[in-house]
Amino acid sequence: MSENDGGRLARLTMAEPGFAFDPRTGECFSISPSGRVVIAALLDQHDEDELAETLAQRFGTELALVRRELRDFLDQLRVLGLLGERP
Amino acid sequence: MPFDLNVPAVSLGEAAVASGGQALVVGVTGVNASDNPGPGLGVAKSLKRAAELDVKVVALAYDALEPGVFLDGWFEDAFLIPPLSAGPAALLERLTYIQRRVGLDVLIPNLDSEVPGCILIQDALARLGIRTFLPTRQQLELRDKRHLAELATRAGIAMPRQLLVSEVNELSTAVADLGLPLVLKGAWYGAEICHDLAQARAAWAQTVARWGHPVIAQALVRGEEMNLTGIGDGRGGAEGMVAVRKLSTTGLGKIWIGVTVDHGGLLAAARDLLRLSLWRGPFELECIVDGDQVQLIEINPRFPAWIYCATGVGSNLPAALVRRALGEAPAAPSLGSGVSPGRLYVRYTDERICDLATLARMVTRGESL
Repeated sequence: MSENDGGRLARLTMAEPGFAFDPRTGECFSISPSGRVVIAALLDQHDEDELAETLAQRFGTELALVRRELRDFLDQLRVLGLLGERP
Repeated sequence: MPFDLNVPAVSLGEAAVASGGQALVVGVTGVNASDNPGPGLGVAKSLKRAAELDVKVVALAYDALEPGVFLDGWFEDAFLIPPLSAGPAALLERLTYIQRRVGLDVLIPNLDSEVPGCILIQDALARLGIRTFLPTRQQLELRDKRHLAELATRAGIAMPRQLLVSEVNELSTAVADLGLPLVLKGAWYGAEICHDLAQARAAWAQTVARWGHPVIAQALVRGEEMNLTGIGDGRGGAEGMVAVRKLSTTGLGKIWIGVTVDHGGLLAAARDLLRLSLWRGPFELECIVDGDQVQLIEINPRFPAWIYCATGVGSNLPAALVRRALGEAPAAPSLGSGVSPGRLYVRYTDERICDLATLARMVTRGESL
């Protein structure tokens, strides 16, 4: 099941690569290159398992490590209100 | 008391001659630009930037050391005006003199406490040829901090609970009812967050000493401060609304860097308030926003100090106000779509070296000429 809260994530604009702005709330976020990949994949409706595999392949990193870090990143997005609650 | 005062009427034609012919002369207050900057400089810059207006701006200051007095790039002239405690008649007398001296076509009061007096004398000013675009006295009352909750309720907008505290021994009741921390505010100005009863008592005493009664105790709500400005057209509509979120503030909580936002709930709240109140003139909404929830804190009956931000994103509200004051319809070039999110508003401190003679003239004669 996708965890994508498309509304708020989709609303973000990238003023510069790595710098996102929410035009509704005025909040600004800096996002790492891997974070940008995650957000793009979330907006494309990929789920967490697919995301982890994509990231592991793309960045040549062990899948278990990627899963852990991805989970942390998604939790961060939830804390910031950019993603819905973990199912 | 009506301010008729046997002032000889000056027709618009005569006023145009007195002002030197073609250029409009606009008197602007709130020209202090210190750690608590007034809107006057932003209003002046906006007027100068309006390509469709040929305008001279006159700084109206309460103190010879208000920085606007010395900014001759934005203000052609400067005059001292009497303190508010002298009453509206004294202001009318002084503006009559200034009108004859340099000509005044429009007056824009930029401080909350000036607005009631200007409303009282607006008809007398109009007979002099000095136009304004102000709310009615009833509208001013509607948004008074003591009554604002009623307006917010009618508009369906949330507002933090508040109580009037007329005596210091009512504070413990306010604390019990509203919880801690809470905010103590003067009827006109001032706001202090109080974390305990002792602090609240001290803040109450200071507020009464400085601003008088009543003191308003308001529950503290969490969220982001977003402010919105525009002009009410007096028929329930608004023009050129622009909203900002504060990104950095001074020690006094004044915006230093902000970013424009497009928050649907905030805009809707503004439209509802204007529709209900039929607000006429400039305004600023101060709100606390948490996600979709908008809580109204205050409605200020004048432009905010950050008004130049609106001009910068395409809504030249001061220019629009001048045209409204003159009875003209707003011109498209001065009004943008009203909302351009993602534009940064950055304040900074600049320095000028000025001739002491300007200060000398202000102190000895009350004018810079």
